[in-house]
Order: sequence, then C-alpha cells, then structure tokens
Amino acid sequence: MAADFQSLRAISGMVNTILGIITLLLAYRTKNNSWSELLAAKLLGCFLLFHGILMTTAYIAGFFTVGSFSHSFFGSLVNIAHTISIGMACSSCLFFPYPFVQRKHAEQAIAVVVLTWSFIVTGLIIFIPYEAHVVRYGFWFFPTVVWGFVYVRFSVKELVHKHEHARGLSAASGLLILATMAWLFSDWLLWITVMEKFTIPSWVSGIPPDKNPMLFFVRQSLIMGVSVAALLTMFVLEGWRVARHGFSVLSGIVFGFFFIGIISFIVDLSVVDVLEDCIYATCQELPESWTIYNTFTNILTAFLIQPIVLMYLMLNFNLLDVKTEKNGRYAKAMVLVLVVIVSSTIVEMLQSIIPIGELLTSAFLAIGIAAAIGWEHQIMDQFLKNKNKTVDYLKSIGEIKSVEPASDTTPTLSFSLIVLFAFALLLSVLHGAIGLG
Amino acid sequence: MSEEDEALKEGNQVSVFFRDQETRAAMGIYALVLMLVTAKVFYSLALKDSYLHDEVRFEDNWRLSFTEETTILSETVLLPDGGEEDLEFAIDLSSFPDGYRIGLVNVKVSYSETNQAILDDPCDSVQASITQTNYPAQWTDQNNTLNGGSSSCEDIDLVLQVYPDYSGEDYERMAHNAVIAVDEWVEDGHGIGELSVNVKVDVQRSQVPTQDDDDDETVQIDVIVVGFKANAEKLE
Repeated sequence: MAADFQSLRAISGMVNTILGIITLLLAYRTKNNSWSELLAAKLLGCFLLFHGILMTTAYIAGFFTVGSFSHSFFGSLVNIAHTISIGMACSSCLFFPYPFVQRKHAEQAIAVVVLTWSFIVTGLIIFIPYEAHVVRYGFWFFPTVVWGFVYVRFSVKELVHKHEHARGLSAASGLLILATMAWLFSDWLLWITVMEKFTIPSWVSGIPPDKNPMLFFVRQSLIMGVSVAALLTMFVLEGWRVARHGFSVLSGIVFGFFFIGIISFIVDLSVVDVLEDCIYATCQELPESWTIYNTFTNILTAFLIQPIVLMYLMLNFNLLDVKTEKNGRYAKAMVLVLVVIVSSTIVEMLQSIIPIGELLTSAFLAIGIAAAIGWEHQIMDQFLKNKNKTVDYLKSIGEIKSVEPASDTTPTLSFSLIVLFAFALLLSVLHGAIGLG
Repeated sequence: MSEEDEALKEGNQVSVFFRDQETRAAMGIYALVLMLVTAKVFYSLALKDSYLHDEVRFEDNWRLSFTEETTILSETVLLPDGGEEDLEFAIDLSSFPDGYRIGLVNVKVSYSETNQAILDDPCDSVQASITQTNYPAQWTDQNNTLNGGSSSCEDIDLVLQVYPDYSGEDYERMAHNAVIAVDEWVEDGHGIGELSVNVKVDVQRSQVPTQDDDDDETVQIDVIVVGFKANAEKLE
C-alpha cells in the first residue's frame, strides 16, 4: 500500500493541476459574474494549480532527489508551491462566499498581499526552516475560521429566520471547509478524546531536539481545534436542516465524515499498543490493515475527495460561467476527466486489497467509463443542479456595496501569477545549484 | 441610519458581518465551541502526559551492565595412546533463567598423570580443539582460542566468542528508553546448538626401564557456558 500512497500523490497532483488550469481558463472567459465571485474563482484556480504542482513535484522528487530534499530543486519547488497555495486559500476566504473585502482595488491589493506573503515566507524558510514551516502551515486556521463563521451565520439565517436563499452561503462555506480541511475529519473523535496516544509517539517524537515544541503545539491545536469545531457544528446544524428540508450534498458528506470518525476511533484504538511500543520500547510497523484503512480514509480524502468537492462547489455556486457553449465544453471535459480518473483510481485501489482478477476490474473500469460517457448529461446536470447565486441574496439583505473594480491598474492577479511562476522556478534552480540556506 | 448601515457605508464589511442582531448569539456560541475544542486539543497535545515528550524527543545516557550465570557440561573420556575423540555438547538455555543469552563458551580440558610410578612418569601429551561446525558463534573473532595442548598436565583453556562483541564489561550509551538501550543484547539464537570438542592423547612413557607404563589417559572436558542478561540504568 506504500506504493499506492505514492501513486495517489501523483494522481492527486494531476487532478489538482487539470482542475486548476481549467478553472483559470473558465474564470478568465467568464464575463457576467460578480467581481467578487470571479476573483474567488481565480484565487481558487491558482490554489488548485499550485497545490497540483506541489503534489506532482513531491511525487517526482522521490525519483530524482539525491541528498537533502530541502536543498534540492524539487524540495524548493514543493516549498514555494505550498506557500503560494496557502496564500491563495487564505485570500479566497475574504471574497467567497461572503465578500469581506469590497473595495475598488481589491484584486490589486490581494495580488500584492500574495506576492509579499510568498516572498517573505519563502525567504524565512531558507533561514529558519522549522519555525517558518510551522507558522506557515498554521495559516490554514484562518480560512477555516472565516468559513466557519459564514456557515453558522447563514445557517441560522435559513433555519431560524427563514431566509431560504441564505443556504447558498452556508452550503458554499461548508463545502469550502470540506474542500480544504476534510483530511482531518476522519479522525475527529480521536482528536478530541485521546489524541495524545497517537501524537506523542508519532508527531512529538519527530520534533527536532533543538527546536521549541510549543510553536508546533499551538499551531496544531489551532488547526485541529477549528477543524473539529467546524465539523461538529456542521453536524448539528445539518442535522437540524435535514429534519426540515431533507438531505443535501453537504449534509451527506458531513454525516459521512461524522460516522467515519467514530469508526476510525475504534480502528485507531486497536493500534494504540503498537504506538505505545514507540515510547516504552522499540517502534514496530503499524499493521497492514490499519495502513489500508488509513489510505481509504485520510489519504483518499486529502488527495481526491477534496479537489472533487472544490470542483463541485465552483460549478454549483456560479463561480464559473459554464452556460456558453465553449465554456460548457471545458466544464464537461473537466467533470468527465475527473470522474473517470477518480473512479479508476478507486477501482485500482480496491484491486490491491481484494483478490479479484485484473480482467474483472478492467471490465468494471470499462463499465464506469461507459457510464460516465453515457450519463454525461445527467452527471453535468447534477453538478449544475442548483445554480446558487450568493451575491443576489447578499444584495437582498443589503450587504453588497456597488463596487466597480479597477481594471486598468497593475499589479493584477494574472501579473502576480506570472511573477510567482518565474520566482518559483528561479529560486528552485538556485536552490538546486548552490543549496541556499 | 442603523448601526449596520453605517458600518456598510464606512466600508467595514467585517463589522457588518458580526453586527447582525439575528445571528450574533449563534456566532458567539460558535466562537465559544471553537475555543473550547481548541483548548481541549491543546491540552491533549501539549499538556497531558507531557513528561513523555522528553522521553520520545531526547536520548538519555544509560549505563549497561551484565548479570552473568554459568552452567557446566562435563564429560570424562579414557583415551588410548594416539587416541582421538570428538565430543558433542548440546547447549541450550534451559538451565538459565528467562531473558538470558549465551555470551561465550569456555572449554577446560584437564587431566593428570594416572600412572603411580616411583619416579615420576612424565605427563602425557593432550591436544584439544573446538571444531568449527555450524554451531552459531563468532568463529572468526580475534579473542577466540580454538585449540591448545599440554604435555605438563596443565589445564587447556579454550574460548569461543558466541554473542557478537560480548565482553561482560559495563559501558554507557545514549538511547530513548531502557528497551532501546539494551536492544543490542537481546538477539536470539546465538550459541544454541551442538558444540563439538576434539581431544587427542599421546602417552609419554617413563624413562626408568623397570617401571610400569600406562598406555592410556583419562581426560575431563568441562564446557562452561556463560549466559548473560543486560541491564540498563539511567544516568542523571
């Protein structure tokens, strides 16, 4: 299964990159959407693209890196892509689903912020790698908190104050939380009960002896605390909503993760003895069955489920205009390619643990592809079922200002994207050649 | 103009978001849940069982000492002049307490001149060797003495190193815990099997013609198996 894990990383890199490129293409061809939604689509597209570069590079690095990973070309590219993708995710939460920033020069401001963030953090990673890595990753807490508050506010608007269209905002923010932090959800019950049984032998033991562990503890508590609080809150509010309005995609996924978390807790308890050996004796390898379970929950979620949820969100919440014929073709290609990649990956993963012949799985795969092509319209319709216009609702409650975004001034997001690409490549080449830091 | 409208006009959208009267209480409860869950996670991660953090992050200095036990397997053989015999000794851990491994094997070959002549009958000549077989031991170790001989009735002492690098002397090492500190000394299998010892006798005759000569010799072979158990003591 270790080999499958690496292959999954490569597949995830491909999925994220394809999604990112098509999202950016569609976003730059979209003319009629609100400026904040369009900017969010571009930011999320950039997030997917750099996340894809991160995953792909991390996979390729396994074959070519000789010596220290952090001082190699690929190691540097992984670091920079990771920094940029976090910057993009943090920026997007300011514009979608609730536009906290409604200014004429919002795009220019965010382009400058992302550039500055990328330059500073990348520089810090060269000189103080441990501290910079820990703090950088801690920024994931920011979008989760923002989307969490948006989710709560508009869920209450819908459920208590009968604002039917508020659902668009709560569903979008809930899906965004899932699209970025869902990999932590499959062990939520462990995190809030006996997490130390898992973290001391695995995480704490990995902190270098000359580094301060408190920085890591604070960062990890923030990320895990806000993620688990978001899941539990969504479980309660979605449960309330299901009783009134029936199931939705969001409630289905939230309930799924809630119950997976309970099962994972039992599964994780079964390996506590093995983990304790790392403290009191010598570390043993975790059982193969646990590794397989973990691959099918945490890793599958992080690598494949999250980008699919993000794609669903962008198509379903009007971030991209797919009504025109040409844009529609791109969207269909994106959906079909991803559905086929993900289904074939899951079939192959099942094959690696269930002793069934390759001919049989090939047949299943062919059936899946045929179904994807045959039901292309239905799949697309499902993705485009509810064209939620979050901006229309916000206008109706008077929380959208009339802003005409400035388009004639630089730097724009496109400009910063080009600069970031050039910066990432140049710094990585320098890193690989002379080993900065 | 309401408070919210004023905030919107000022362009402070964050303020508009949090000033909503209808949802302010719910967001307050969410903020509280957020803080409680984060605090619980922080407690589990950073405070609970924190004494173990240093255990897993830092290596301690340990003094390793060895408790030894020995067991002796003996055989006595009567060999004629020019005679030779291969003796097999079955070695296992049954005579040692639990947790012991075999460190080394000493073989002591002893004999004395049994002919009671008036003038000294000279000592017979005895050669002894530990035969290299597939017995699991360190056959090429520099400290081994695999063969020896005597013609003066002195004991012949042979040594075979069984456990790699075992000397029985105390030393110090860095390790995360006591189990890791002794992990070099818990390998199974060393020294369990059949040890083969070869003994040859050449009888020396008396120089006094009227004396009775013997034409054989009794040789005693003692195989002293040294078992050990490693103990780790943490140094402050």
